[in-house]
Amino acid sequence: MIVGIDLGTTNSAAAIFENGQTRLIPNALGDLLTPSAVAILPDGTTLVGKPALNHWVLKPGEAVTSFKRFIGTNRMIKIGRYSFKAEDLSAIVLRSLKEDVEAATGQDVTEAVITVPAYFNDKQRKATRRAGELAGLKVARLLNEPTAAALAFGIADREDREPFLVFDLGGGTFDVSIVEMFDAIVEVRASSGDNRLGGDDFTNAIVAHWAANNEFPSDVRRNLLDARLFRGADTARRMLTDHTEAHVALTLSDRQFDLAITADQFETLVASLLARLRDPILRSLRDSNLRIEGLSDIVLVGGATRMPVIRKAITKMFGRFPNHVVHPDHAVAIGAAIQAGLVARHAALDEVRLTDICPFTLGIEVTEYDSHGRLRDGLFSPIISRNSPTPISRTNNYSSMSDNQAHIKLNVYQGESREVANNILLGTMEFPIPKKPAGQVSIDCRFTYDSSGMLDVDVTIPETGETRSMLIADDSEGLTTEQLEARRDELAALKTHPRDIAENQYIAGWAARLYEEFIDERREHVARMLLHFEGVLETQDPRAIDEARGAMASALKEMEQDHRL
Amino acid sequence: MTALHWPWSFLDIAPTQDRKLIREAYSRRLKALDHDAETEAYMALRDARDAALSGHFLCAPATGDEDDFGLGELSSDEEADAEETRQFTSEAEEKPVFTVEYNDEDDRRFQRVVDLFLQDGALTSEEAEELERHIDALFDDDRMADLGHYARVESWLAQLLADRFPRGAEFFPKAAEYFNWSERAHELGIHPAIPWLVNADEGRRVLSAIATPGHVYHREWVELSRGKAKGPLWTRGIDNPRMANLIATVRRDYPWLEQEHWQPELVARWEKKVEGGSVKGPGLWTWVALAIFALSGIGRLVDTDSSRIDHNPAALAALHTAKADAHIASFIETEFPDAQADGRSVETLRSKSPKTFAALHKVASDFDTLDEARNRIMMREITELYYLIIDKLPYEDQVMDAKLRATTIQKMKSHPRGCAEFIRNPRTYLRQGNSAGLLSPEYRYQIFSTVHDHYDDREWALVPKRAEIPGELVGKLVRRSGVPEERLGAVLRSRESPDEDVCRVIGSFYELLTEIPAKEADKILPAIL
Repeated sequence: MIVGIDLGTTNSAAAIFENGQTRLIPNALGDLLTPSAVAILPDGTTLVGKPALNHWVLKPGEAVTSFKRFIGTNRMIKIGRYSFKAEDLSAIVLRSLKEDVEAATGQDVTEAVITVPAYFNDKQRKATRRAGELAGLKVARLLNEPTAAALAFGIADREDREPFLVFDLGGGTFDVSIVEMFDAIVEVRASSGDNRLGGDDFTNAIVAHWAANNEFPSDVRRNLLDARLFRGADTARRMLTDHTEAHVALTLSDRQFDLAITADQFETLVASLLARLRDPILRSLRDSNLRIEGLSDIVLVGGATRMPVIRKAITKMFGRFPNHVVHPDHAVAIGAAIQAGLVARHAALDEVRLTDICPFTLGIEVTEYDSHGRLRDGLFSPIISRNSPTPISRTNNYSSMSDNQAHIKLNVYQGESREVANNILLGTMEFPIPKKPAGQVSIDCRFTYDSSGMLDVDVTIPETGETRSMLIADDSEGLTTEQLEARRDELAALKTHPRDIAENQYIAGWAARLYEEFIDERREHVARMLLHFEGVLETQDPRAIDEARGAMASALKEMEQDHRL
Repeated sequence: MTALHWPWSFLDIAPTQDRKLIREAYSRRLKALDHDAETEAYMALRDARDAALSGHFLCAPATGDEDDFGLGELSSDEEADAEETRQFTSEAEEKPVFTVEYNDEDDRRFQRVVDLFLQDGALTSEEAEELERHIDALFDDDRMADLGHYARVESWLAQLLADRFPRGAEFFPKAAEYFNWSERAHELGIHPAIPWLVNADEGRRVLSAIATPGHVYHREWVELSRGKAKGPLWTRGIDNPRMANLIATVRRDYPWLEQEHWQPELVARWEKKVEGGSVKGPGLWTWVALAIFALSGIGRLVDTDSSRIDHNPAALAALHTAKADAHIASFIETEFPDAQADGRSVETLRSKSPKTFAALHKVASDFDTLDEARNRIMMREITELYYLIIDKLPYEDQVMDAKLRATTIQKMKSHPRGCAEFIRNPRTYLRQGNSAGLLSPEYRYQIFSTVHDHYDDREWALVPKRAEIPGELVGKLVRRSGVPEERLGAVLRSRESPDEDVCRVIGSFYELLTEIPAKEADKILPAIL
């Protein structure tokens, strides 16, 4: 069966399409959202989701969050004595989601539709696809997140809709899409975004604010302080959704800090972030030849859109209230499940079609002579321009630059700048050409961009009839099947607990975290509960454990809430 | 034909402006294909839909006679018929269609714009203001809101022009100059009205030039348009390569000229003759018949039927030889005083360059008096030949030409538009006789002596191939000319509006050309000639 997965920066979710409708799948803890966090204990035990998030606050060195920001890069992320690429960590999250779906449906999950931010570049997409493969999933399609949300929104009643705007502010990325519905065809007209803007940035603004206004003890390890502060700031940010003021108590080296922030302060702190929302919106409107009045709806997606500052900014920008029909956290996963249904040619979706676009311009680096005859290299020659409908295939012709040139080096870029230095290098390929006077050897360069947003580059030299396909010089690309298998085995060797044990682990981890945060009698109380719980676990009596776990969970929850206020 | 040319066949509907119909058709076709897999089909379908919705498809200009372009409206029945015809003859030329409707108010303003454009003399400042105001009012309209950028708005005005004025109307050149259309055609080409108008205007000018006796293609033109299809082709005295060139050029650039002026039957026959190579000469039976006619003396009777030019060019030429020779001699004598001293005369021309002589001979036969017009037309003939061969000549000749051009351009500085046209297409410019007073006697003589010495019985390509300028060499040359970078780029791309800078740049370009090593100059010359 095919599962739809929203692989987010902060939270991930899985959903399936069955009996003509979508269903979100809960994880082992019964939650519909699984935090995108991974912890690996010194003994190799892997924690995913909430337990990992708890562990992160306790021992930041052994857990990571928000690693989606690094996907598609070669950056190695250290976890204890292990080190992973972001795609490996994503694979671990994907595997956990896959197991959740298998547990819920009793069926094997072999294929997936995975969502990515619309503004993800080719490298990030390829890395996401590899993550799926590492998790043992065939990636049937990569779907743009705002497109998925639009599907969820549009398919709900299948009515024709004038263009509407999907505003997707997730944990780490910001996307805008303009979508139209006609006769059950969901057509994306334009997408734009900012790959480096998300809810985390808003949290970090609070962290920076606190760090600037408090003297934190210097004996606390740097990353621990960061993790604790981030967690606290995140809590405060969420509290500001319903309150005008948020207080968070933080215990560091036995000192209690009362950290506070008001809604007004917050708004000032994030003014520059709010300003960054503007450009992608304007660009997508311009590209689809629309004015703000031409939009029939503003659809909000992504947990970060819950923030009142965001809603206020949107209302101000568009002069109207956004639409609340879709669930901001679930819409993307639901859209992914609909796409999964489309891929599986589900009868209920017979009439539905989705047409997407390529949100950025793709091209190659060229050298030209300026009018003074000086060589200008590093110029960008677009081949597929942004917001072209996908799949698409375009060919441009280029010719050699010097006499007796023996090779042509093709640098493939993505971006909008005229100078490639400001664009993103996707790959490089070098190949021999017949030696001739300058300009007499031409090459046809064909870019093919498929529905998943994957780019293929083929070069043909008409003179020799020779054709070459892109071999990207980046070493992580083009893993052979064996290499992929080996990596998958490596990841599989990491231990995970059976589902119920994971739950116990989570409760224990939660208690341990609270123990660190509290002092005095509260801390004592937590310690006693934890001792009792560990005793029950020793008995290995499933019913007793279940009971103790339930009691412990509600007690911890109560304490935590008290503490927040 | 792609979806951008004729979207309706891709959408499988009759032409319409109903957005809903177009979108429904698109939906139907989309659902019938697997758009994720059938990339090409999907791309074509998208293009077709977008073209149909915008009205911006690149349909070719309309075929019919000019009455169709007047103010008369088609009745709805006729429209339906017309649409039906269009569907069946999708290859046929199509008048540009645009989605914005214009109303009476626009009409009034538009008429005023037209009046202002058409009046004699330059606009006074008040009139210029009024013109601006009307144009702004036409553009500044709610209906334009969804059209986006300025270029489209402008093309809407072009659409009005295309609708209201017959092809090649007097109005066009002024409007085109005002909006600088011909220079910006590439950027405005998104809407077919502007290319259509530009093409119509060019074609009209070609027509007036070619219909003048003495034009190098005049004979061929008359042959195709005279309307007498009788008689064997091989007796017409037509230059076959020239005929092939004429047909190909008109087909490529002004297909409507063919439809409006030529006899299809004759064109078909000529085409077969010049291209297929099958109808080269008379067949065996014709020879037998001719022999019999000649023997029996009946042949004379046939001549009475049709004009003598058609039937017996040799006899005609013989009649005129003496007079034509005198014309040519007089032409050489009056135009090129130095010729005699250099040993170039009508006799040497006949022996050294029989082709030039033949060409001049043909022209000369059309003149009775020895006047200036004759000299001009003969000069034009020679210039035509000259520019056919200039890029194939020895280096020294080319450098000499570059020098002369440089001085010509210096002289033309005060006349930027003409100068720019000369730079861009000297052949056409000179052929049309615009340059009468502009070419120095030295240049004229250089042209004559080059043709005299070189245009022999060799095979010269009829249409010179355009070469790309090797960037490196352009760089060298241009760096030394010392003109601001941005202007220079524009000039080299030939898209900037003509002004003194353009002349200065190209002028120094030619100057430099004469100073650099022969090997390098050789490479550039074909590109700028």
